[in-house]
Amino acid sequence: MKENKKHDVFIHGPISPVFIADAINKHSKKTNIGAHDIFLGQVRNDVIDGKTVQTIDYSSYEEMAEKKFYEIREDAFNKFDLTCLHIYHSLGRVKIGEICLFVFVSSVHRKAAFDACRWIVEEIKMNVPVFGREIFTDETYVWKENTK
Amino acid sequence: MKIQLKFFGQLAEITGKEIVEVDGIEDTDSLVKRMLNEFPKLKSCKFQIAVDQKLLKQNQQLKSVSEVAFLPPFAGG
Repeated sequence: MKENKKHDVFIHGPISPVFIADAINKHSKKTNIGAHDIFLGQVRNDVIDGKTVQTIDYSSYEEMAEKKFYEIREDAFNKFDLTCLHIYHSLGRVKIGEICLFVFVSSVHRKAAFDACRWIVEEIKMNVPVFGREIFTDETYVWKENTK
Repeated sequence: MKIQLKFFGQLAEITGKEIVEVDGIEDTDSLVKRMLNEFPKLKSCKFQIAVDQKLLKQNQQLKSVSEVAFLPPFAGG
């Protein structure tokens, strides 16, 4: 049975490895699943004009972002043969090395999980109104922009 | 009719406020023109417009629209 339950996508602060492990563990009873694919976005120590990024401070147009995440879910279930799908994104400050995006896709066989996971991550990057300030060690910042 | 404008990220830094109310504007083209006039620094920014939370593809009448958002480049993930 396909599971298309809506849950809150936004998490305040970083997504902890314990949260991710717990999400995997929750699927052990769904024994029709044969493949999980997981994408984890991690904050990188980019160097911009000689200064190193320390933290990204995420903000969003939340009402629109929630609608977009919902559309992505619906489209993913229509396009790919998925058993279940979870998306979590951070808001607020996330330090370098910490996780800011967690996409968790499950299906009966691997192909649907691989294909859906990549498609979902690209959709999020291009179409969800999330904004990020890349903050340097001296607390100055620049606004981040996703590339294709 | 009054419309609520929302500015995000670097655009809100330029306008100095996240929410601006405007009245008597017919369509999105005139709205953008007015905002660029009011906040000339916006001219150097990349942005997209969302009307009632939907990305704008072409000029749209603002009759019965309640909210227009000015969105800087996306940076999620």
